Amino acid sequence: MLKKLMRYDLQWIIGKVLSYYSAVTLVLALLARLFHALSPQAFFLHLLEKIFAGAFLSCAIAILINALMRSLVCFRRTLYGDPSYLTHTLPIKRGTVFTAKVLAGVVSLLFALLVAALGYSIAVLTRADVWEALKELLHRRTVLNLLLVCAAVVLQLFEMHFSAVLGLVLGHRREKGRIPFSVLFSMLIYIAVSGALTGLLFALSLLKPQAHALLTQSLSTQEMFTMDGMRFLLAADVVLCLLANCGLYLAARHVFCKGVDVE
Amino acid sequence: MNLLECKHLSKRFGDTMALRDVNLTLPRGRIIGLLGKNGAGKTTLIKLMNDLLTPSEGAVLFEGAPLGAESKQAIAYLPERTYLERSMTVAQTLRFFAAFYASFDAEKARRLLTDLELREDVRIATLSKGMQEKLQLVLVMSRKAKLYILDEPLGGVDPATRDYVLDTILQNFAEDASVLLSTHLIADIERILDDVILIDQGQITEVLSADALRTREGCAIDEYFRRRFKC
Repeated sequence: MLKKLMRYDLQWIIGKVLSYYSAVTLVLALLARLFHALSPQAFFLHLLEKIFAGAFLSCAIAILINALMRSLVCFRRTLYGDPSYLTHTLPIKRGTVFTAKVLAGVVSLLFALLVAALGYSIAVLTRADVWEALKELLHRRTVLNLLLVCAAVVLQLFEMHFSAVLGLVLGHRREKGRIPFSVLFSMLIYIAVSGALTGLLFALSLLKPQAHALLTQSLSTQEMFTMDGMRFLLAADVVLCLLANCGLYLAARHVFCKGVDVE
Repeated sequence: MNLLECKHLSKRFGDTMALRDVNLTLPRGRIIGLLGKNGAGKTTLIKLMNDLLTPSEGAVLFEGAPLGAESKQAIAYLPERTYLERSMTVAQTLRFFAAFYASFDAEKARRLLTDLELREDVRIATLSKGMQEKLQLVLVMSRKAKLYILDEPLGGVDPATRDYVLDTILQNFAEDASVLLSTHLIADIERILDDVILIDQGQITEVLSADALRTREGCAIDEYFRRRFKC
């Protein structure tokens, strides 16, 4: 049931809109790359390259925002809008319905991130870069660093998504002004969680002087900058974000499973 | 065991008490009319029976158990609004219902769609409100449910099609199943009702058989309703 429900939600979220966005993003990335390769000396071609690179960047950001917004709109309309009359009368446990909706959002965000990353590789990376990256990847520590950076970026995006989901669930428990309160709650939750994570990260950095120096000294005056400190901060950030996302998901699921009041 | 039971059911919206201490049982094999004025609490009661609202107090039990995935497999609900995904075609919607409801009879649905001259390849967004309501009725009546809850099934349907809709309801539910019908168009449904539930200001005021009500009042239910709830 979970997979079936997710499939229908993904069809709605990704559907034609995100598919077109993805195609446009990748075509723009390809054009930016093509004009870069044609002639870097010719002013007109150089100008076109910059235009396409800028357009690609805008599209890559837009696809991420679009995926986030569409997944939240899908969540709201299928759980609280007119289609919710069908969703809540399907023979599926309430917790499963909630998980399917949240997972559909997560998969959509991963899809958008993948398109943006693929576009970036097409537009920017040269063969030498790829070769160099592959050689670097053979070095275990580099792989770990890369994974930590990727995980930190992805989890930050998910933190926005889960904060908005909890905000929507809390906002829709109110009698009136459900949408304004959902937006307000989402923002407050995101700010509170981000603030708490920053504070905890700072507290954890006290355990490692190199990491603490990264947070307290400016780059120009740093005497103790090391990759170890950076890696420690990234790992701590990933663990904290993961815990925060799990906490947000469980809190939203708990509130949702108490019951809904569909308009 | 009764099919559905409401025990001390209340629902509050802010300061407004929409439903007050409702105790009600729905037996098997009956067609029951839920009748009341606008704002009497009919839709609130129906939404509570379908787990679309959370009770402020009390509980709804289906075959003795709280509402859940099992009860939703056995209750077919037709809301008073259009709830189908507008971007889907009729055929996709049939597949959706077949995927989620084990008792959904797709062949029966296709037969009913043909009777109503509804094509399967059209998008729901292109259908008129009346046609969407007919489609919803087809989808609901193509399920082998134990309880059909129909909220204003005649609301958006033209007078010429009302008889067809009522016949569709009558011909498409099993003998041991029950139908709970909520409508303002009492004259249109009176002929098919076995029992009547009257609701006013969030409280159940009367539960009795349609024949008993007619005999007691010496008039049609529609006439009694007009007299009793006259503004």
